[in-house]
Amino acid sequence: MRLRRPSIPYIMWMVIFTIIPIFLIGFYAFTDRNGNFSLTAFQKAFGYMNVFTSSLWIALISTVICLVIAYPLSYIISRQKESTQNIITMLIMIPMWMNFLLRIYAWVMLLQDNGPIDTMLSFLGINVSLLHNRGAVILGMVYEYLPFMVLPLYTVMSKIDNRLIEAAQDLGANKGKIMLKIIFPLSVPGIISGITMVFVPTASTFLVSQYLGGTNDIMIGDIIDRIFWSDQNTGSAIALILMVSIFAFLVILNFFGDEEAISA
Amino acid sequence: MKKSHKLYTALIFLFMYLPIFVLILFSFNDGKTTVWKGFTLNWYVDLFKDKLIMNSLWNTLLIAILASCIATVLGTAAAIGINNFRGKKRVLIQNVSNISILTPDVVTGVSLMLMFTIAGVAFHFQMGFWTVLLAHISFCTPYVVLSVLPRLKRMDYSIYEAALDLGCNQFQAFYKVVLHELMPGIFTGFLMSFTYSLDDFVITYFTRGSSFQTLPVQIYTMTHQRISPKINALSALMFVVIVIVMLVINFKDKGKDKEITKESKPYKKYIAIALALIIVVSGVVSIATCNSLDGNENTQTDNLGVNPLVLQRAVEKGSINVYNWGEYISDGSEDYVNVIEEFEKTYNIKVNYSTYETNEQLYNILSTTNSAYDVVIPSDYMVEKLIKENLVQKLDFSNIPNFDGIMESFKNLDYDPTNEYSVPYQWGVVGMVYNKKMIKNKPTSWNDLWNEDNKGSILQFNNSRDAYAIAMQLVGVDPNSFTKEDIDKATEKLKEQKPLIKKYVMDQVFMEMENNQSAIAPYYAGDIITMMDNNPDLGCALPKEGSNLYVDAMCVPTSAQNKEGAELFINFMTSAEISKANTDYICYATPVQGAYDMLDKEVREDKFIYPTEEYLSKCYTFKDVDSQLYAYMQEQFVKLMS
Repeated sequence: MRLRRPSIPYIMWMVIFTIIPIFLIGFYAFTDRNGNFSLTAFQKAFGYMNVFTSSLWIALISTVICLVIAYPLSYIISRQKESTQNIITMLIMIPMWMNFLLRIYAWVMLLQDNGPIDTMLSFLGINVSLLHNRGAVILGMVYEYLPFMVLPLYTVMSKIDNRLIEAAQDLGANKGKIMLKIIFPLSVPGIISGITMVFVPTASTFLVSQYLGGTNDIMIGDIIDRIFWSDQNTGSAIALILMVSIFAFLVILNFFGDEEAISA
Repeated sequence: MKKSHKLYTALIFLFMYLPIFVLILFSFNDGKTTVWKGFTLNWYVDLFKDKLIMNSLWNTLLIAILASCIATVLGTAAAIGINNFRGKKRVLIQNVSNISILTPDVVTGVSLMLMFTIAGVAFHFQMGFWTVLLAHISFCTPYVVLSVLPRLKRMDYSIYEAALDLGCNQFQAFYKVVLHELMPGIFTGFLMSFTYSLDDFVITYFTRGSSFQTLPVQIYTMTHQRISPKINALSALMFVVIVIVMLVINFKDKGKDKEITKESKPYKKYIAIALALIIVVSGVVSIATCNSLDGNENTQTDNLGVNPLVLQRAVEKGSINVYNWGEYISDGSEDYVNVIEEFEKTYNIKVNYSTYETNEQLYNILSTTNSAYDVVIPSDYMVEKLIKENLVQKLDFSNIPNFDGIMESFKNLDYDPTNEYSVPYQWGVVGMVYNKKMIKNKPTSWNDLWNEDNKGSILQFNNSRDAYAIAMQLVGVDPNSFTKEDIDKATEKLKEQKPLIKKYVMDQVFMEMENNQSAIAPYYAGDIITMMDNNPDLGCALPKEGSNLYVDAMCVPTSAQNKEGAELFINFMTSAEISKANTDYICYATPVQGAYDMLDKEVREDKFIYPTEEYLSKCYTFKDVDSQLYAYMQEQFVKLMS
């Protein structure tokens, strides 16, 4: 049972399907069309700097909103009896089985001018354009990735022993203090893994902004999709920069929590 | 639960389920648009007749099942091995494993595509089922490792030793004790893999090559025209299946013995969910496929107007592979003719039909791989490029007698001057669609797309070639022969337009115009006719400057396996009845005289669909552009949008 051999196929698999492809991206990023060393791809890639920053910004805001919405929800779920917990987590997972593009399409229908939500708002005297702006993109992101924030938070919180909370109450802690001194510190691993699971896909996603955004909301994922088919070098350079900046973010994030957080 | 807690939870569920209910609602809509037209169940009937969707559904399930099973075995074995590593080596292996989880999907997709392309050239294979399967296994396995490892860490090794002491051999001890302990982790991993694989779009999109289609990719292909309500119907069915399975399991759980340990419960639940889903869906798929293949037996081979020898050879070679644009053939829905089925019945040759989204994608497939397509339908400039690069072959026109019925003005066009390689399929011009309530005066020029009065409600092509062609016409550059400087000039013109534009669109134009969201947009004439059918407030106009005349033509790739079958197919598509059926369905214009003559008088005289000779003389068909120049144009266009 102390064997290491069973992991050999997987290690080889990772070398072929993870490491080599990433090196290929690096190779393409640093060469030109003819395979000679060149930095033009990076030069071109940095031309999209504003898109990089706006994508990361959109991802950050979406992640924060997801966290703010999901945290109380996860806490509420984790304090229910087990059968209720099961039903609620299932209800949270079901939308993940529906195709994401279709769900985005549905939002376009809901948010369009004179659509159901717009009509309701204008009835209340509010006249704003709901679709084709950055707000709509963020709404789409929050909608798509909320379950990815709820599930890790809930998993961590459901493991918090009720007796801890009771003990704190006995010792005279009020609700705020319990939250701050017990629940929050114990849920940090869940927060970190939730942020990771939401931030990475939101920063790199494509198509969402094409459907919900306006003329200025193109995201870096869309750029890769468009550029890559006609210019693989620049496409690779953008992909590389995206990957590095996401990893940098994750390293900083993990600085705040313990390193096992990802596996929570 | 406290009231405030209940309210909060309810609000979030409203947020999460509202779009899903909208989706399901529109699966009952009697019409293709997003405007409610009445109740119908037809989409559910049509869904099971649609081979393309059924085929993608089958592919999706097959890939998900295979990938998650293989990933589970690979990942479990890996976890056991990794658990026995110590120190730096272990950290390294785990980190690499996590990297593939944390790498954004786009990057994984793009990097695998680069590798498969290179490997494909070296080892002579093309991307398709196998590359998608490999990619899926790659992104699924780390999740299995991640969910099994913590269980291993917690496992007490003494129970394994105890099993040995009690007379188990190593294998038995592993099987009965270790595996049993790990089961919950293994099944969580399996379920995660299955879920991710089932809904993956991005990685499949980059690694699928051309012909292989999964459901998410199929839906994406459809967005280039519009998503068929059949897909809504399919989603509704899937939703119902999932909810029922979940409810049944929960209900059963309640009646169960409370003694079952917490540990063993979740994974049993997951097996049940997964298995029930697989069984139900594959059952439905197989029934559907069986039905659609029935009635293929009776054929009359005589009197088809084709050389019997050719027919015999074609039939002997078996099926033909047809590669067409999405939603570009009459498919049997809503009382339209099912063209493919008709062909199969008439000639007893099976058609493997798949679709693509752009000419460039078609080109990549034909140029980089040994694809086995027998018929492809590229647009004008791409036909030219394919002929130039020897990727399509000369046709034997004696096998295509219906070519005589093609209008003279559509023979010997610029892209195939001697007309030896292609037979035109459908054509049209790019025109303008506008909302009569928002724009009082009928637009007359492309300049109306730059009109300040319409600020914020103008749409523009989200496609560099089409958008630049319009801008180039306005700045006096020939959209077919231009230099870098000309591109810059056109870019300036487009920059001028950007503040006035609501959105760069392709398929969204349907929703925008049909639902009165935008005032004016350039688009393909046939599609504009469809929009006008769905919204009486819309009008159409041709720009006085002239416009782009596009022709999509059928060709046979050099690598075709069944050229005779391909020619039979092209001949079939060019017959008056079939061409009319397709024209009715797609709403583009037909180049077949006989089909034109059969059309309603008002359609024939519609100067928007069939412009006058005089207007057509002002139009241009796209020619092939130098690839460096095209990349530059693409780059400038993306810059414009960023």
